[in-house]
Amino acid sequence: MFMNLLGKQLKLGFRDKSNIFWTLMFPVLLGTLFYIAFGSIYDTFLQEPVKTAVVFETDNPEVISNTKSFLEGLSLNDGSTKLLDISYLEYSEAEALLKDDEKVNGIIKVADTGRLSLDIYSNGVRSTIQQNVVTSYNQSLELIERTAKDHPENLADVIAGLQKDTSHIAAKSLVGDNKDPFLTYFYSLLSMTALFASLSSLKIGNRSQANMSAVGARANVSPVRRMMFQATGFVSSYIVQTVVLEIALLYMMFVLKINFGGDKPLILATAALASLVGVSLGFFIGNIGSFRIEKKEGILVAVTLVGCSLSGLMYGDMKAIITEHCPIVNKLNPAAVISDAFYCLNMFGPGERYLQTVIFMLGISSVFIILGLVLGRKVSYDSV
Amino acid sequence: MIVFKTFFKVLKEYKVSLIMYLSITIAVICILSSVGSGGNTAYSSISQGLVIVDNDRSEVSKGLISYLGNVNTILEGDYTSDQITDMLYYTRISNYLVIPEGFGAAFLEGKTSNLKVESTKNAGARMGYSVETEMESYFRLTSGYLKGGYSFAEADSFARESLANTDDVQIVAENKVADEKVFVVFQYLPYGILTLLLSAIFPVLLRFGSSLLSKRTGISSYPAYKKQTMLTLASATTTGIFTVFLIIIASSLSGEAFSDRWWLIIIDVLVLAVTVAMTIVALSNFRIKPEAASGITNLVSLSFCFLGGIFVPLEYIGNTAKAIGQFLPTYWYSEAMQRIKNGSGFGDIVNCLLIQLMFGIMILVIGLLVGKHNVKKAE
Amino acid sequence: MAEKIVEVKNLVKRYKELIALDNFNMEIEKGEVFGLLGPNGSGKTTTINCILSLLNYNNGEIKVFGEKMKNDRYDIKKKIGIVMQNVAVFDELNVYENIDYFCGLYIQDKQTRKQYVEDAIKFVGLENFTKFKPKKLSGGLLRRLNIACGIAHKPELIIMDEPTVAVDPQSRNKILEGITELNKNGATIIYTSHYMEEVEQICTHILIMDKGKNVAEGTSDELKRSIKNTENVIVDIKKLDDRHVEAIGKLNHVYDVKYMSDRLMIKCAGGRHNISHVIDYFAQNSIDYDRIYSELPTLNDVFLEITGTSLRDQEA
Repeated sequence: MFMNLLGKQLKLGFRDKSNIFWTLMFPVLLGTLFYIAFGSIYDTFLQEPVKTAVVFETDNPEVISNTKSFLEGLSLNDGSTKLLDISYLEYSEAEALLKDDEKVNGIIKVADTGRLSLDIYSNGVRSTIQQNVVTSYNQSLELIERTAKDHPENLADVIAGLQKDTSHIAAKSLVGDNKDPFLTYFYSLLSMTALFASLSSLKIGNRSQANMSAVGARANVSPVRRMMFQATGFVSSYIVQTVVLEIALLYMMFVLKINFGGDKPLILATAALASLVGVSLGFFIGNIGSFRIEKKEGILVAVTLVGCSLSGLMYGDMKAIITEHCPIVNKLNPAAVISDAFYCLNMFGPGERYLQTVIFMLGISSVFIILGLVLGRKVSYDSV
Repeated sequence: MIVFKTFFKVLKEYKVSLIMYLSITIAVICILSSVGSGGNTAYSSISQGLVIVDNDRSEVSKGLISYLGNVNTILEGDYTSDQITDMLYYTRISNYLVIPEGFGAAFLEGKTSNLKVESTKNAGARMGYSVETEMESYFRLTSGYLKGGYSFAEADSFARESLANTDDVQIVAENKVADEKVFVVFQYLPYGILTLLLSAIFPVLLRFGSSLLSKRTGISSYPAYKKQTMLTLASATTTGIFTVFLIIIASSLSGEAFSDRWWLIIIDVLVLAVTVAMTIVALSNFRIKPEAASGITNLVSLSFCFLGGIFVPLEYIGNTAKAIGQFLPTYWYSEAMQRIKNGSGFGDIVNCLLIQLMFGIMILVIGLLVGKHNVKKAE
Repeated sequence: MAEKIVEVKNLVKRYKELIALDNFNMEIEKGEVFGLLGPNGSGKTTTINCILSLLNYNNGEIKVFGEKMKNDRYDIKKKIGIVMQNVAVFDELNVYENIDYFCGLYIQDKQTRKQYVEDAIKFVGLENFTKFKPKKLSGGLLRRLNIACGIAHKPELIIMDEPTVAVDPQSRNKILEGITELNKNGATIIYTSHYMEEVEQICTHILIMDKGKNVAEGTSDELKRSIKNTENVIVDIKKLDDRHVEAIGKLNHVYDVKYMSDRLMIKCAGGRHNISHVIDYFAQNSIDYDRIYSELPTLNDVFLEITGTSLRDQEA
């Protein structure tokens, strides 16, 4: 009986085209969109030099050659990337380009004294970098001038020290596989897809309760136990939704080439667990009361969207902000826990923190399933 | 009038999703405005969060911490290494610094080759580099002044004096100091406008347009143009009510109203709302099942917001996305906001407004043509 | 005495203030086509839902196949088939798959089930539509699919709740023939409807319910005999004065006269020559008329008289 019914339920699940369309199209379309929007940011941040216009307000050849060699010598990533993308221009040209943010991020003016000054249009990451260049250059200038005045005997030492470029910092990078913070958006997207799986399992209750649908009434007068409907419905819904979620995940991993970090099979297993959370949630809601299925769908969409907005679907730092101000919300929000599971896997590997998210996902799923079963146990109705 | 009234009766059916989107919008705006101005655009050097562990407690380490504290926010407290990783990952802090014991003494002797300040940063975020640069500048200058024969106290004070000098940097935009709150709040408003209008007007128009119902009204004695007018009027009323409501909420959260730039922002908001309404009317002409409305609401609102720089500043978005975004009204909404923030007047943002309206009109024309085609096909 | 398939005793069902079933009693014997007749809202579907243990009831006792019916009596449920008022099928499955699904809830053996499903398809005449999804079917065909889903497992008791609502005459005849055939093959059938002709045509025993009560029961003939009305005389006549209408009403055995739309309806209770009395009256008064004929009361008359009476009783 179980296998027969399961087979039929699976057939129903895979034929529910609108459900599959939405649960699959959502992550695929939005994932592609995120990829277009953020896919290259991580690289751009590291590799793209800041576009800078340099304007000489002096004819002093010594000043010109000194600043040129200083500015052009600046590099990032151990010399592999230039820090600034310099074009030497007249001020009027440079100013026109500056107003069009794309072309030039700032204008460095070189004065007769050798001092640099910077014109920017608005503050931002790029102008801060230019600012650092300008001020550090001017600071060195001040140091040399002051020493020459107070302690001229030490001037040679000072200049030698400046040229020696001693580092006082041992730079360490953050652990973890892919440190791109924009990965948060993909995590949230996966949570959303997993929770939207609930829209499919919502129908289990609906199809097995006589007071919710005509099909449910027919199921109730048949000699098959309610439990059997619930169980086969749940398993088939879980299979369908997991397949859909894994396809979406594989698309992100292999077509969009998003590096989620960590062990690939484990990422897929985490997705399977996430879909269990979604399916159990829908199973639970589907068995509550006898109000219209459209209303229940509304509740699920609300739970999913509110949860995902709190886990950072719309604003990436949201989860971090909540962790700081009200951490309990993140612990109870299924969307946050799912996205946290992927995050932990990436940053810390399959360790204790990852295990905690796994336990939570299993726990919350069992709670939903048990509640659903208890509520769905009802044997006859006051009204049909 | 019956059509107008019925529009709102049907609309009432969708109150659950309206309340949901309204609360998401308000919650996001509230959280963002309470967190304060976003770090990306503050005046002068960008302030970073730092966690510093000082194992040295020397003159030098105290000098460094006090210097970094002037520019950045140093977070106090004991954090676990996981918490540090989290904070770095989400760019809540840019660096985690450990000053080793004996660092100060070694620095004063000019021998720090083995004893260095450990700096952990998120390699993906450039902010970490800028803090390291700040530190290196401080060390470079103080060690320079030490070599020049000054005491550490003198060296520290000269270095700071030099480092504090920001006269070399000039913002050429007219409006130099911007109070950010109003921009943070209104930057996110389009998500509210999109989701509220889509979940209110769209399904109702689809209901009215569904084949059986439109057949039934089509054969009634109620003229088609009148029905269309009433539906348009009802959509416009809904747009007006929701937009004004959102503006009131956003203004009270940002604590700003009726200033010159506030009016400019409001014009931007209103233009976007009208454009969105036109888009919805256009969409309702495509044969879409009312059941699909909620999915489309999500898809349209999220993609418009991401590609239009509503959720993530345009500065961070890839070039391909920007190229696509330019075809969306939300992109020009953000662009206009950016210009208002830089102190532009109405003359400078009028292009952005016109492009938004153009988008609306274009898609409306397409929608109406498709609608007409569908009607013909049905005949 | 024939075996009792369904016994309902003193059944009471309340929806808050409303009393849906008011000490309702019913007995159905094996082999009957049992018609449950009543106006909308009289409690027919509620009765059926109670018999099926879909609904809780406030009082009373229900036995099916001689045993107390409960929701977990799967052995009893196995022998029941139900054709619901609402079409209960999956839009995602085609005709064959839908029938197979519901039959599969009762019949485990694949080979047997295949045969049963095919029998059911032939029975409702959907042979040419097996691959069609429900949305592609016309209203009549959809009803037939709904029936096939309910009876494919060859149940001993079949409950049909208004299976012919919104069905074209061709499909309706097909359905009615089918029901008779099912009955011939040994199934006991409960049939609810508010189409009198259908019930009169196929039912061997009829129960009329109103306001949740059993107001009359018996065979069609018994019911007709039980009412006051024994004969209706109908006259097509263009013009008739009120005084003549009044005078006709005073003729022997006549208890009700109505004149409207050029037609005179005369209800008679008893008497053998009622039509000639009317003809005589017209001759005596030199009144011209087009056509005159006499009819026996139909189930419709029974129904109107019984439910109408009980309505009047309630008002009083």
